[in-house]
Amino acid sequence: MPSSLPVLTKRPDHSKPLKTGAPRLVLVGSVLGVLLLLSILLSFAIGAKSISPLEVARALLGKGEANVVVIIGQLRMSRTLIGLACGCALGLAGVLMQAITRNPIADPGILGVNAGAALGVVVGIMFTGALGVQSTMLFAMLGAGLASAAVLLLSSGYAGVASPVRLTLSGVALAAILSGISQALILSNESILDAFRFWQVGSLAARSVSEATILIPAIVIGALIVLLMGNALNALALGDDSALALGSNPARIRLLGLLAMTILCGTATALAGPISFIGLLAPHLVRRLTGPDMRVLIPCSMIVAPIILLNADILGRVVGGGAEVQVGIVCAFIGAPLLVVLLLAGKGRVAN
Amino acid sequence: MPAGTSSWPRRVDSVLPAGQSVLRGVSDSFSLRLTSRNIYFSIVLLTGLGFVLFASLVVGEYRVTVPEVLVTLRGEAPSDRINFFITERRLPRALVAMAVGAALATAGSVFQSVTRNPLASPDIIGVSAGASAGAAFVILMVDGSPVQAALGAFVGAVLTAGLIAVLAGRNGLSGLRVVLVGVALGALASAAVSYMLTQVFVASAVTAQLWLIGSLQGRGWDELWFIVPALLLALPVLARFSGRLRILAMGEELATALGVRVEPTRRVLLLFATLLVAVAVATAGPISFIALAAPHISRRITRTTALFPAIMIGSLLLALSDLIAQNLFTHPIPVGVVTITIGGVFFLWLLVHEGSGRDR
Repeated sequence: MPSSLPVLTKRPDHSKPLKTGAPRLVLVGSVLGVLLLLSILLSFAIGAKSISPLEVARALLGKGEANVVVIIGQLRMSRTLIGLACGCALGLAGVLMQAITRNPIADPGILGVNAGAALGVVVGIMFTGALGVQSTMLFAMLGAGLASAAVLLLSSGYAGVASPVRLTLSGVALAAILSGISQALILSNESILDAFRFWQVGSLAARSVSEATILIPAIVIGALIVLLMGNALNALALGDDSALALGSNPARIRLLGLLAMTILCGTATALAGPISFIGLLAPHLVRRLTGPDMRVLIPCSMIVAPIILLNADILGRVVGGGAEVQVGIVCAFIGAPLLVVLLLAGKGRVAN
Repeated sequence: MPAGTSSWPRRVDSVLPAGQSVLRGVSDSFSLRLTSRNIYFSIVLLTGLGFVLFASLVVGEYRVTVPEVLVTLRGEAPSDRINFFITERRLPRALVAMAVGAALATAGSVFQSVTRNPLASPDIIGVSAGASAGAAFVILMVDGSPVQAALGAFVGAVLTAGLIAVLAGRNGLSGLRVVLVGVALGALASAAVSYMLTQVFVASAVTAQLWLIGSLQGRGWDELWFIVPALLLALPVLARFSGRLRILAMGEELATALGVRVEPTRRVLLLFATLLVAVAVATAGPISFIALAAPHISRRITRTTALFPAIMIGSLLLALSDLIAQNLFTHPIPVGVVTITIGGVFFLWLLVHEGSGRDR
């Protein structure tokens, strides 16, 4: 048999679909997994009262000093749980938004989706009085959905895609309008203003464990939708025409993405208030590690985003001394400089 | 029409389409293109401004009749009370609204032209947010007076603009970098404001929030004498540069080729525009969307990027907004609420028009 024959008959191996190669993926995956576990542990251990990992483990099993059990089982448990859930949600929303607007700097915080969710909550409180967890979530989703739709409209400029700078500016303007309207509404009522000012900074300490467990299923549903959209989003990344040629339906993908984004951003905002920049940071970091394949990017962002969020929260507990700095503030102070760096680094791409 | 020769200001008609002519000063120190469209709209806008000013004097909680206003303006007020309401309350407030509107519209025009981006107004690219952070710091952290808050806003705006210039200006103040750094700094400043709002008692938070939305409540002659000098200083300079501004808006290479020194021109323009924003925000708080919307509306109507119509539209918008804010509701509301609403409508319009790919 001529030696060249096997080469000629060898077909592209579709059973090994991931371009980055399995060993590298396993490595990246396991490192991220370890980092996530470490972040969770730190989130339990570090705070106004430092608790050693051993005590954390004992307290989680319900043993040890009573006050430590309360701190771990209630306070830090809710923070960590909410950090994990919101991190996942915002990271996924970021990937999704970047994919369906085909724009590398999309983030639900910067482009006003979270501001829309916040406005939804304010409107809900104004017109129906105090809100329970579920109704907060519904109003937040309503606001997030409308704002996401607006962002999608904005991103579909002439020739299909608006330039990143243009989208950013119109998104910032949208966010300014939405949060301006929220501020105007809360001015009329001092008690709402009082509640809103603590909520609008974005904090993981805003909800209890039981409230968190009510909302987390929604995030799971949203996450499942996004995880199943990997192939579709890959097709979309090639452009609408190519996606059509490959048998995808870009309009349907966008609509599904819009739905998932609404669920994820609405729930995350209902849990922790509007938090910016996580959805921008996580996918960019992951893209450096794994490349642009959505089937890798999506699950990895889902791990990296909570890592960032939890560590930002830990940082906020440490830097303020006695008074803690809310996680939303920390994220803004980490994320804003990074936005500049990212955009200026990709200047050639961004400029046109 | 024959071209004027030696008289001043002379008119140049030679190369222009019918119905247009240009007024030029001695050795081309200024030039003003006159089209029937521009003249028509200038007259309409000035009439509108006059009408709104007069309406601001007549309409209000304290009832005054039109004849009473007219005699008061002649200096023969029927009563001290009427005199007080007209000349100490309504007239200065309306004038402040117009001056602030003019300052914001001018600054918006300049920012948009220099960065070559129709959305890059000072309230989007962080200058107003910096001013807010400055004022919020004074109100919330050091419990300062309104005058000190105004000072804080001024310092905040100038600091932010300076930071943008330093961070974005390493290789020249190109439009893109100014915009990006501005957006990021704006996000930082708003985060700082949110943080400060959580660190105080609720009463201070209410005060700060009122300031942060932008209001003309209680503004009078003192504020007018603060903002008018700034306008008198900046407007002539910007008018002098308006030709270069228009060329800059065509792009850096073209401007250089046409003999405009790009960097110094940008610097002067942004400096004076920043001065105007800082003064306007110090006077009335970070009133949003006048700076963004006025130049757009002007461009729509006049089909030029000329400063003058934009300034008049800014004045008209804010004076009208304040009239609405004071009178349309059961209680007076901050004018910032009205301009936010204008912003929302404007944005919907932008969505419809720009989203469909027109107007670019």
